[in-house]
Amino acid sequence: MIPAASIALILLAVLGMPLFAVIGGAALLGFYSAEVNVAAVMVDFYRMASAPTLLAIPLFTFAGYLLAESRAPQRLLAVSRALVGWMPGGVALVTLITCAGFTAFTGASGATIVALGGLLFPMLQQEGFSERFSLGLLTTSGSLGLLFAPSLPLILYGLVAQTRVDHLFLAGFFPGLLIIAVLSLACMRAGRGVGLKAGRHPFSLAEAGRAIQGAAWELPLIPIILVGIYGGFFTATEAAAVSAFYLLVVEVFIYRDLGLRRDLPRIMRESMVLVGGILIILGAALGFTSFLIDEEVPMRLLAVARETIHSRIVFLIALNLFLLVVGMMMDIFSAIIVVVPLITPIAREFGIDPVHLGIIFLTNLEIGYATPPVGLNLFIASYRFERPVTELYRASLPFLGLLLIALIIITYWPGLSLFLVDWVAGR
Amino acid sequence: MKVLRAFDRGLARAEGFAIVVFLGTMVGVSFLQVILRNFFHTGLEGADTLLRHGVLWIALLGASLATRQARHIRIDIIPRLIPAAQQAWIERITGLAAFAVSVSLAGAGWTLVRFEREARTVLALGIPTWVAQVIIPLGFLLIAFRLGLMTLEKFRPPKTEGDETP
Repeated sequence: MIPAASIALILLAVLGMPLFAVIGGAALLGFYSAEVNVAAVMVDFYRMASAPTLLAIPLFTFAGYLLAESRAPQRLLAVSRALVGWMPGGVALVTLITCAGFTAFTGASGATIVALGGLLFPMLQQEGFSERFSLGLLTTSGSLGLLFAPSLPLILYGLVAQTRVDHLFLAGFFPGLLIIAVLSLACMRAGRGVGLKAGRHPFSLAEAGRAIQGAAWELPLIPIILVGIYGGFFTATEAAAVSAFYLLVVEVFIYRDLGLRRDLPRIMRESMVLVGGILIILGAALGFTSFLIDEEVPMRLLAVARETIHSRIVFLIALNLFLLVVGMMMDIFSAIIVVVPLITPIAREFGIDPVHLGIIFLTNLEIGYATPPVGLNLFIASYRFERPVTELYRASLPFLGLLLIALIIITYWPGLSLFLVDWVAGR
Repeated sequence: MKVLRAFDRGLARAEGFAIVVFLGTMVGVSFLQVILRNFFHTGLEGADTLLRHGVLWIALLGASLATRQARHIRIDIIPRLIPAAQQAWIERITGLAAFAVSVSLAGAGWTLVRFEREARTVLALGIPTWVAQVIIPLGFLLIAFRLGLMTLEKFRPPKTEGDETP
């Protein structure tokens, strides 16, 4: 009966049953078959409330929603256009930087393409970039920036892998820059083809001043986060508390983009629907993982890995391939919750730093988001720009090639991720 | 059916209200904690524990609303690739299964609350632990109700738009 029920659960998962029910059902089934009281599932679910970084998740999500719902995307865009629009590749670079900054806050829930795509797509075309280039750039940029603090996937990884979130924030910085740099090259090349007049936007001090003044209340958030977290003054949770409170005051009372009664309750509800959707899976997975550990499943996986994989390099290659597939099938949050507990013991065996593993993990999933045939960003972009998905497949391919190069560098050069952690945190 | 739908709407309003109250309080209190800790080297007693339990409450209330909006995270490769007519059948099956799991999880949650109540543990500020935990069975019950209602509607779709009014 147990094998039949397990197969049924897998089938239901593939058919689209909510993941919390799949994982919760698996946990119930597991404890039942092991003749443990099924209340054990809920003992583990409740364990969630003892994780110190838990509070950062709703607070940062709320802060991200406040930004997304206000006119912050327009202001942010004006600033990066004024500052980097004059460079070769012009608007394309602006796209990269704006999307990265925005995604760091909104956590790659598809919000970037939806909120910024409509602004950036016509801008790119106006300046002479081809439709295919523009679509590909926007699709891949939709998850760009999730290696930067304070992105939600980084926090969630820290929570699940029991790794320090501030170390992860530090570790993501240079790999994140690398990805932007690699994509920038493509933008500059495309910008050259477009010609100087169209791809560039002359620098004007007055315009830069105006744009910065326009976003004067939102920009301080960047130093608050960067200096606060990277400098070790705040924990991730404290930074979340400051960001949420600060943005609430700024967007509602200073810019007045959002009405206290008209918008705020809706934004609170909407953001917590996302948080609820993630945390209920996390809770159920805590139960399922503790069942797996009772049954020594990670130990057995480790034994298999030891027998079949003999070197670190082979393990890393296998990890990359496996995670790219996972990234295509699952959203980033459930992928972290489900896969991380199984991978970490094996990675430790091969001497991979858990912080570096986190960065490899997220880079892979970031790429998986835009990988045909089922990467989520492709579908969001297809919906947002009203283009067939197949057209987006073709548009995103050259960018995927570049991202893969960045992935290889990030995976096989641990120092890129770790040296800042070692230097600042003095590990 | 109509009664159930009205009940569902009322519940959603109450849940939304509770989320706004919880999240609003949590944003305020957590900010106050940062100020107190960094500038006055003090803090509100038990606040961190209560804040984390607040997350548990908004998470389950949010998940219940996610159920209502059919926005739970799922692997939707196959639903994305097949025609709408077959999708309805798949949704009926997965809906029923998810309903059964949620009811069982609510039951497991209730057992947890009962144990904790017998143990008489206190969380903070005199609040018993089991009171903070009540949201676990309650949340899964709300989710189960939503899933049940939605699946039922898939079997008996409203005949016309006018079904809402007598």
